[in-house]
Amino acid sequence: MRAWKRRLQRAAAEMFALPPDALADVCRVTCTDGAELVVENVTAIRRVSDTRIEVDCGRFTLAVEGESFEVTYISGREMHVQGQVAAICYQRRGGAAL
Amino acid sequence: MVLTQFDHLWRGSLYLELRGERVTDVIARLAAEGVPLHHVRVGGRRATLVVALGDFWTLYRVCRRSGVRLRILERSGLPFLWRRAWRRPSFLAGVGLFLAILWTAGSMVWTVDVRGADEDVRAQVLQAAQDVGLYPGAWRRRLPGPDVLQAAILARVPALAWAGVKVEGARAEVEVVPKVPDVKPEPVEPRNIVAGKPAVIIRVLATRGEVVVKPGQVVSPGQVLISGSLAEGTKQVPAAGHAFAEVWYTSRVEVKLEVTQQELTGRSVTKKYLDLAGAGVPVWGFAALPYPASVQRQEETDWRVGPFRLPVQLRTVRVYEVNARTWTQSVEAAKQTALRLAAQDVVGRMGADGRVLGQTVLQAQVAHGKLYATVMTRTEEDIGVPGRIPAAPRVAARAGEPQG
Repeated sequence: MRAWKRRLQRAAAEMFALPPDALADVCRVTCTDGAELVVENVTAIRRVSDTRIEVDCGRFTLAVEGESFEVTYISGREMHVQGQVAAICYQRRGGAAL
Repeated sequence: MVLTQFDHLWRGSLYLELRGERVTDVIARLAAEGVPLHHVRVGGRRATLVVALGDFWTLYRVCRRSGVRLRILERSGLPFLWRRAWRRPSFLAGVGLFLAILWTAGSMVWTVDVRGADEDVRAQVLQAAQDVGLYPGAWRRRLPGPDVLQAAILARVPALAWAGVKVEGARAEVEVVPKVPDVKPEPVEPRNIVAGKPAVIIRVLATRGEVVVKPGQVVSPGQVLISGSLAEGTKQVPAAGHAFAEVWYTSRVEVKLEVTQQELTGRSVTKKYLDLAGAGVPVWGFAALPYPASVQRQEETDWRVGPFRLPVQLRTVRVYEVNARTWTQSVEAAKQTALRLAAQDVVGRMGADGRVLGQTVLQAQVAHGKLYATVMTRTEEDIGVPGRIPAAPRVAARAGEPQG
C-alpha cells in the first residue's frame, strides 16, 4: 500500500513537471559550501558526535562525516548542522553504502 | 529561526551540559518528541545544548530515564533577568524612575516659539500664551485646544491680525500675522506750511491750502509757503503739501594725505576657550600668537537645555594676521574723499526725500599732512514744516482809527 502510494506520487510529480520532493515525502539534504548542512524529513536521529552524524530517513540512513560538527537546530523533522563536511553517505537498509 | 531566538529571549533558555553513556540517545529521543534543540555539540560522553525554558522538564525526564546527568551552565532570557531584577529593588526603582522621567519630559511643553513677529510683538504673544496656559513646562494634556489658544492670544494682543498655534511633541509654535499699521489721520487743526530752512524754491505741490511762493524765490525759516488761510482769512484749513527747494550746506572736512591701511595676509590661528561662569579656560591652541599685528573674530556657542542657557559655552577665537601698509595719496584724491565725506555729512542733515544736486570745493589748504577743505553741497529737499496761522489783525486797526 505504501509503495503504491509512493509510485502514485512520483507519477503525479512527473506528469506536472514538479520536483520530486514537492509531493513525495522524501528526505532532502542541502549542503552549503561543505560547511552547513540542512536535512529535512528526518525520521529519527541515530547518532550524533563531533565527527559523525547518522540520521534515519525512512528507506535509508544518511551518514555525514567530517569535523567540528555542531547541531545548531533540531526540531521535529528538520536538522541544521555546521562544521566541516568531508563525506555524505546514504546506506540502504540491509544493503551497501551508495 | 529569528522568531525562535526571540522566543528564547522572551521565554528564557538554558545552556545545559549532559554527561553519560547515552547522550546521543537523549538527543535522538528529544528530537523524536519534537523538542527544539539548539547548538548541540557532542564529544564522547559529554554534550552541550541550548533548550527553551519551557522544555526543561521534558529534557529532565528523558535524562532521568536514560541515566544521563545534566548541569545548567547558563541561564538567559527575560524570566531570569526579571528574577535577578526582583532581587535588586534599587535597580527596579531606577528603571521605574527613568520611565517616569521619560514620560514626564514627554508630557511637557519644552519650548514655545513665535514666528512672524518682531521683538515687541513677540514678547506680547509669549505673555498672552503664558496667560492662557501655554508656556515652557506646561502639561500638554492640560493645554486648551488650538482654537481656544488662538482666540485667547488674538484677544490679548490687539496688534495681531491672525494667530495659529501648533503643538508638535514638546515644541509649541505660535505663528502670527501682525496688523498693518493704520494710516495717520489727517490733521484737523488749521495750519500753514512754512519754510524750515533758508532755501530757494524749486517747486511747491500743495494738496490743501494756497501756495504763496514762486519757484526761484528765496525764503527764510518761518516764511509761509502754503497758507491755510483762505478767502482773506474767512476760512482756515490745515494746509498740506510738499515744498521742494534748493538748500546749501557748508561742511569743513579734514582728510589725511598719509593713509594707513591694514590688510589680511590670509594666515590665521584658531583658539578655543571653555567659558565657565565668565572665565575662559583654553582647551585648544595654547601657542603664543606668532603675528606682530592681528585682528580677532569670536564665535560662541549657544548651548541650552530647554529655555535655560548653560553656564558652560565653547568660544572659538580666530586670530588673523594683518599687515599695515602706509601710502600718501594725492591732493586731488584727497579732495574726492573730502567731497564724499561732505556728502555723507549732508545726507545725515537733510530729509529722507532729499537728493544732492552738486558739490563745490570752496577752499582747500594742505597743512600738517592734512587737506583742510570747505565744501558747499547743494541739495533738493522738502523744506516745508507745519506752522501756526497767525492771529488776524484787529478790525479797529483795519478801519483806520486815529492813532495815539
